[in-house]
Amino acid sequence: MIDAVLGFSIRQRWLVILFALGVGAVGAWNFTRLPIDAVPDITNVQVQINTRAPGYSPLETEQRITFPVETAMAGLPKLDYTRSSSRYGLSQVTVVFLDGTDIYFARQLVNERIQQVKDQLPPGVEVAMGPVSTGLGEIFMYTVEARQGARAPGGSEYTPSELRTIQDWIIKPQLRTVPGIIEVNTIGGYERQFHVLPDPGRLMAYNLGFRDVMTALAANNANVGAGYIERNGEQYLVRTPGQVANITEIQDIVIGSRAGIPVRIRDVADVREGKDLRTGAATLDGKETVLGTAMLLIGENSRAVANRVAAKLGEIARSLPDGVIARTVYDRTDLVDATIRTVQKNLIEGALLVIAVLFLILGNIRAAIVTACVIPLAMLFTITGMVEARVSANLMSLGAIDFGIIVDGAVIIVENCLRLLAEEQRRAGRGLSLNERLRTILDGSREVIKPSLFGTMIIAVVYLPVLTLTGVEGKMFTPMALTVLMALLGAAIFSVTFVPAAVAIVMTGKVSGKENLFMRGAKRAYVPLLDGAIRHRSLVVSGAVVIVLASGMAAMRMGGEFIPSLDEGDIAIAAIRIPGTSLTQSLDLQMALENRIRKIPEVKDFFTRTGTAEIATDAMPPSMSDGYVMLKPREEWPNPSKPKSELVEEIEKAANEIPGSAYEISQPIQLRVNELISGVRSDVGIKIFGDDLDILQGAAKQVQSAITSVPGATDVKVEQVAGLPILTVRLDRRALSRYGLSTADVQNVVEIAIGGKSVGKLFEGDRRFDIVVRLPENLRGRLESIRAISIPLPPAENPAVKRSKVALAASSALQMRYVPLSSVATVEVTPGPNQISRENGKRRIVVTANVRERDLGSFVADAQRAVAEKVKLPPGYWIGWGGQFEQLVSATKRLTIVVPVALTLVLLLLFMSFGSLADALLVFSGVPLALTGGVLALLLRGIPLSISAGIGFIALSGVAVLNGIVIIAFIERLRREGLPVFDAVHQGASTRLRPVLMTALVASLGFVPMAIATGAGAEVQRPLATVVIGGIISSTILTLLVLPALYVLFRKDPEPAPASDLSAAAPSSGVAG
Amino acid sequence: MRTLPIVIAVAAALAITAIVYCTMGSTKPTAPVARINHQSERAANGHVEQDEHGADRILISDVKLAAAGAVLAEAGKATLSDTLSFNGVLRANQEAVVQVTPRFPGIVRSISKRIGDTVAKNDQLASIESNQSLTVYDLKAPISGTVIDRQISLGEYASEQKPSFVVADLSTIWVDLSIYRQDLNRVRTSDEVLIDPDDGGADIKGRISYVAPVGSSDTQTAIARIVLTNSDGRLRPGLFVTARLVLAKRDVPVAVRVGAIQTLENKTVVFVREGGDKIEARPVELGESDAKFVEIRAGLSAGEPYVAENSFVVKAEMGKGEAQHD
Repeated sequence: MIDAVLGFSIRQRWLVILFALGVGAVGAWNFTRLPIDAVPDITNVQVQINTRAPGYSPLETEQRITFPVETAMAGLPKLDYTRSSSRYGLSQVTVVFLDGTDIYFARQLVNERIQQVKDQLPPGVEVAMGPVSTGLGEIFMYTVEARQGARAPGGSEYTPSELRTIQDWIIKPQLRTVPGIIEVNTIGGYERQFHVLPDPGRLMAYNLGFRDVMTALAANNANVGAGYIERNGEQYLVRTPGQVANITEIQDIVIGSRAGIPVRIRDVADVREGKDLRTGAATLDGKETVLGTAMLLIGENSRAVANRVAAKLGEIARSLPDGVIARTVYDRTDLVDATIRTVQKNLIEGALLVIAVLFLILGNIRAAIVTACVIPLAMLFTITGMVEARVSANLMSLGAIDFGIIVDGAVIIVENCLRLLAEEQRRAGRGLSLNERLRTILDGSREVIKPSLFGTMIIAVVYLPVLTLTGVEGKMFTPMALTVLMALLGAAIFSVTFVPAAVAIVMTGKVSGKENLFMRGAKRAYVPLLDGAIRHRSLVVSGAVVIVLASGMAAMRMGGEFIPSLDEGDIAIAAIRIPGTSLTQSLDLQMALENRIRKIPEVKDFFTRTGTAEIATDAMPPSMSDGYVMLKPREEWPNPSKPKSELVEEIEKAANEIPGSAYEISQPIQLRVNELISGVRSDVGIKIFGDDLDILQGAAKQVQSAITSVPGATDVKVEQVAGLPILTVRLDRRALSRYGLSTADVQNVVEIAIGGKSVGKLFEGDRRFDIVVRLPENLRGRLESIRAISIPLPPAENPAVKRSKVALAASSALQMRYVPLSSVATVEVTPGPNQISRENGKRRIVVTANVRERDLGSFVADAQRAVAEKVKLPPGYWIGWGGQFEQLVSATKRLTIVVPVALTLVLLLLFMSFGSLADALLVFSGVPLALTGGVLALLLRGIPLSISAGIGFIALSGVAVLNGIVIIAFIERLRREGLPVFDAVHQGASTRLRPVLMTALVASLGFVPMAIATGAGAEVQRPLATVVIGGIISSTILTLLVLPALYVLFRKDPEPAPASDLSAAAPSSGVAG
Repeated sequence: MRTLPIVIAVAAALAITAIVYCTMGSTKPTAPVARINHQSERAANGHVEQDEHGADRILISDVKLAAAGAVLAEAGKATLSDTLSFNGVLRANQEAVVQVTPRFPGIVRSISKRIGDTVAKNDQLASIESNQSLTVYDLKAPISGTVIDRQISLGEYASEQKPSFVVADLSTIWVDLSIYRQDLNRVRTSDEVLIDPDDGGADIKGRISYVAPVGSSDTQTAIARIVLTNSDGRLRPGLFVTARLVLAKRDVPVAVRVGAIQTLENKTVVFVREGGDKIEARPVELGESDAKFVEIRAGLSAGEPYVAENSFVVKAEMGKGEAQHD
């Protein structure tokens, strides 16, 4: 069949070229649709359900909201697990679906269940699903600031509330319309509100309560439509507007009347513009600011969208009030551009190197160009495939593409055609006719098409294990393997169609049979070496075995790193403070930190989110801050060549000068992705499930002490669930009954007085602001004042004390029908739960541990034994084991099965091709030989073993086998032609030097730019490239020397071979040379 | 069997390959972030130590404290003066209020004073024609003061059962404060009180002259009374006022600023500066307090330096080892 294809391609060569161009054009068009990002998205398929419940403590949140919502999610199709956290005022349930679930399908399911459960939730809470975005979603951040000396319309400086209003009502609505943006999240400043602050004393004087104020406000702020009337043929709409429009109108609302004199709001309360009780704030360079974050819709092209946002923001800037600016502080485009530049540079340089090598070795520019043409064609083919398979272009997915490996198949074909053409020409002594040429090319292609396709197939097969990875590793590396597979497929298709066709078209002139200077030199050096290797074959083979064993040992000792982390160029500092730290305190500490870090000359800006933003995509308590340190471009650094790790150290040191916070330093995307995947981030996590928080905490302490004694355990920590100071107003039911009060009466007053209660909105055009009733700040801030909150008593049953018209005449009991809160309740501060975490519908507490200097598997076994022995749990409580080790165990298990299977498959392919197990095994011996070089290269460069490097080893195995095939296949052919082993080996090896060198050189040189690149993202590609280069060098040397030796050692001629002096006597360049 | 050695060689090679893969697989999943994190945590945990009494100590330099806005001060004696707030109502001095009732029932023939008029003693208020004698007699003011109520009109039948006028002497005025029962034991006669009539003017100083021996069953409060002079008429009976009672001043030997008090593991502590950059979380026993100072009954002696403001920073620094990001 392949022959038919080859024949067709050569006959219909122009058609084939046209077809290739067509594929290229489709690829080019798809390139414009290809989502481009810096790193692969490793977020799982999850739907967040955020429920705001203002004023609810963690316990109430859990009981009233989290539990029903979570329970409702149980049993959803394709559900992986649910987890939740209940905090002050916020319930967050995260529903995680199995990988591959369509996000919109998942959201649909979740939404259905939310609708069902809504009735069970307390009134007034808002349930909302998180935006359709991922860990990479925060692509653009900007701050809204006032320029120095800018004045608001009133003549004063812009307040945080005003800036927030500008963000909420001018910027955000416009940005949300940018295609590809799903949400614009805001944090910082204050939401503008109108506060009605009743004076308790005056309320008492008028014998009014909070409730009267609220009723009056609610009843005096509505527009009502009253249908229409017809009049003289016209239709008149009737409306009775009654909305308040400003503070004066609120003040003039009448609460009631006393002896015909109206009592207005202004008589009992102060009305002013105020600030909301915010859950989070933003700071920039030591000052409060308003921070907007544009979030990318899943599957969109982050670079294109970020560009659009930037353009839109520029447009919006014109509609902002004078002196107010929206400043970009984070733009993903920068990172994506930088990484794409790196990738692009690597690929282009790789391609150029490959072309140069081809020219150098083939000595024929036309042939080199034909071969090199496979590179763009295969690449464009791959892009089409990526778009179809929804693989985004990023560092990882493009990171394993080595043009050298891709063109390997084509190289072999072109090289052979060239050789045959030269031979034919020499034999004929003239230029070939068209038919002769075509026949020669067909022959040449046919001769090597099998090993060529075969090699490609083998490289493809070794990538298969990567496809079986799941979880985070899977998300990172599966796209990489897919891309390589598609590129290989493309290359294979083109090498059976396009390459012969192009060769047939291009190679019209005389083909020089003479090898160029480079090849002649190479051969001159190689032949004596080959002879030596064959002569001392036993020594060579045992030497090779020793090297392999030694590098195996070295590999086992190498430091490991799971997944390489991309240098995003910027730094994220998460500041973590003890639970219960107030927002104001957190901000003070954070601003001190910002001012300190800003003194570092490399730092451009430092902005921070503290607490939870408007949309709780990241539900942080006020005690935590996510800070982003934006660095200046390297050129502006005092020392542009300063390594980043040094800078990070410096920043960490500076941060530790500010006491009160623990810091975690990472990078913006990394931070966000970690938050989203969450789960347990340490090696081992012991989850204790149960009901009672105290028992859970006790059990966790037991587990902690049990684990700490296991050798290898470090950083054993119990999740902090407690420690939030809670002011409990504990009602005294007996006292209540004495006064005839109900609990709700008191609760309502406390709620309104301290938390405030919204009683409607004030409209200014589109803008709407809450009207809130609560106690003045000076009365709700102190414990003493809270105890003194006056609770109105119900009207006296016995009107014995008649109220006289004149106060003076009445008994002094008069209308003072109030008691202070402290007489019906005790007010005490106790520590309460800070947050309540649940997983799969059950409360849980996690004990985490990391493992040092010990193998994880045995540690877990020991730890499990220790816990089983020492920890006694009451009925209804159980322990689950999780953490990274789970992932690790599953990945290791999978790889230990799949890698041997793949290698066996390779062996099987080899066996099929050679028809001899011995030959197959001989070729296969190239794999361990190649690995030695990879290990050595890593050691030399001091790069730890990682999955990335592992992928390199996988690629290497393929290339090594390919080299072996080329030589062994030729030797076998020569032997079939009747040559004795020695001659066959000698001749075969030296004849095939050119293709072997060529495939090896192109494959390793193709990766050189990646291995030495320093741009953004280079560190992710470096290990892979290093391994491949090192491995290919070693495998080539070893293939050229050890393989022949091995062959001679193990393959004897059927009849006794002539003396070994034959090879020494005839160092001719062989028949073919 | 000549393939046997090959098989062995390849098996060895396979084994090595497998080892490489497995090593690769079993590498530790520690992202660099996590590692940094652990380091800093260990550092944080490392500097909290406990002494034999179980008191926590931490190493923290003055520079670092200042960076976080923490302020040091020395414990010492202080004068505590706390205030209590009450609501009250202005009333006319009931001892200077006279209800003027006609001696004989009759028809009101003329009225000479209206509400608000000031009257001298024996000024005529109205003249009434007695029903019994049909003679007209004068209703006179028994005291000098202000007419604050009038219940009769011209031609009306004025009954001897009902007061026709109320005359009050407003030069002195009562302020009746409602004292909740839990505050009653802190209120004594002659305590100083600052009264705010809420008219924008200055507070008026007064002293409690009377605390009611009986309470009101209705509101569960008792009355404390202040008598104020009202020569300028600023105080008007019937209006509400708020009053702040200055509790008796008390000198205490050891006191710290209110901002110094923190709770650590359910114990009340003050962070005490010791030598060599050390700070100890010293459990203390609190006494009385006012808005600025808290008396320390035990645990701290005068002259010891302590963290007076922003002491939360020290607490946060001590606890940060346990804080974690999730």
